[in-house]
Amino acid sequence: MSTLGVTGASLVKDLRMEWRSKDAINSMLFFSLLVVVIFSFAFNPTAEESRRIAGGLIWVAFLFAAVVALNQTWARELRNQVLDAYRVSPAPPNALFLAKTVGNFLFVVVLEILMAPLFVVFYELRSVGPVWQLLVVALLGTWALVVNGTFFAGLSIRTRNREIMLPLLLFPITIPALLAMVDATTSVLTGEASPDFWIKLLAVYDIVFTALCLLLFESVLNAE
Amino acid sequence: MKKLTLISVPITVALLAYTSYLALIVAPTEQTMGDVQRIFYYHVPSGWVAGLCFFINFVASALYLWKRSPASDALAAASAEVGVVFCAVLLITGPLWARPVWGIWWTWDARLTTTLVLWLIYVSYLVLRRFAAGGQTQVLAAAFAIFGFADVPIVYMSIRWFRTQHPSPVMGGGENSGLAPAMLHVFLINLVAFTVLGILFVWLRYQLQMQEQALESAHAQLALKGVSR
Amino acid sequence: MNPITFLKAAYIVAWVVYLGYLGRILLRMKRVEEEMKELQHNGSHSSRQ
Repeated sequence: MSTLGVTGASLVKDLRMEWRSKDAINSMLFFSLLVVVIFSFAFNPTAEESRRIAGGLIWVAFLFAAVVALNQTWARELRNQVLDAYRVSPAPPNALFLAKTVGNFLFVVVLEILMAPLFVVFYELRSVGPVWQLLVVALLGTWALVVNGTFFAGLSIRTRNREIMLPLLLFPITIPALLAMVDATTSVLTGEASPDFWIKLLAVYDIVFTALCLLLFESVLNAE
Repeated sequence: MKKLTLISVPITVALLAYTSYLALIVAPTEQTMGDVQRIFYYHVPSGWVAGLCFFINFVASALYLWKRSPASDALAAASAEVGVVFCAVLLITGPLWARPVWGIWWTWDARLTTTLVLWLIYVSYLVLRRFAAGGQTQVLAAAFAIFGFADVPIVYMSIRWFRTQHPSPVMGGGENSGLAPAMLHVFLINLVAFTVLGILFVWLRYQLQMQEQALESAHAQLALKGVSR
Repeated sequence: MNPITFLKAAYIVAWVVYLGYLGRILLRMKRVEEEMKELQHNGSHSSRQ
């Protein structure tokens, strides 16, 4: 089978499993809902203030929620020795990685679509700048979170305390992407500045780290 | 090997004592900042050595992924740890200098923030090394090292932009725009001394790493012998 | 506070960290060496039995 074929098959399998159990999406949804409520109590913002802090709030909530789901991605495969089977099969390793990444990307995008109305309601958000720019930022930013997150989840699955290891590895590397997402979102919401630089930075970040992940995933998968 | 260690440690410490004397007593007092500026002679060389160590870590990690030699992994582990130590000194002496000169302990400007993120990245590298299981450690650590190194320029770019967009806090003073010759002289000697210290640390730590590896395989062999007997 | 206090603090911190780290490495090296010797001694001892 070609890389694309394996990717597709693996992705369809993951999506079907998620559709039946809805484990990842439910835990992410509930988690980010809790973050929204807790932040609202902690800061008690007015509409004007919340437009300023919303960028940070939204992305911190999604980052934490994504970690919850990312921790689960490889656990299932490890339990049933799927990774070992994959290692001995002739299927290209990057196909597996791409399938997992696209799967996680779709889960987080669904989460964002479901959460967006809640943010608008709870924080009385109204965008001053053009909304389509928010879409671009969300897509690029989610990919940035998910591509590194999937890779580092694959790394941390082989460590002793895997649940805590993922955020420890992911957060320092993600800092520039998070800064870009937060600042771009805030610039659009307040309409005070142009998010162009941040969108470019996110694109560069996505390209650099997607390339690195694809370059290094095979070594990580085959690490003894 | 052992003898070389015994000689090089006291020589390096003596060299550092001498350069400290130069920095504290011989170098002229800076006009605007006064004597506090003498932190400069420790601060900047520490930063340089930290950067050098992280670069060595990157090269050694890439080399490990390519050739899989245990020596390059040991070098990567050694240089990352030494780099974190030097970076920690950089991060501690920085605020101690900023407080009397700028009036604040910390400012989120590009260079400070990048240094902090750099430090965080390599601390997670060390945590990963500690918690990874057995034989996988080397590959996982090497892969993460590549990610960390690639992240640094992006961090710097992003924070520079972040800070130029927002009003910057009390800045000014600080950097060496044209160092006086007497100061430059002392600074260069300090730079050399700290580089020697950094190389000594990496070298010792490298030896330690190799010894630990040898010990581990000796343990494994002994256990194997016990089983087969 | 006197600026000199900051200078002193910075120098003390730098020296303590560097010398402490040096001491730690040397100590660990010594320990590993001792353990290696012990292991070799035990190994040869047990194989003679």
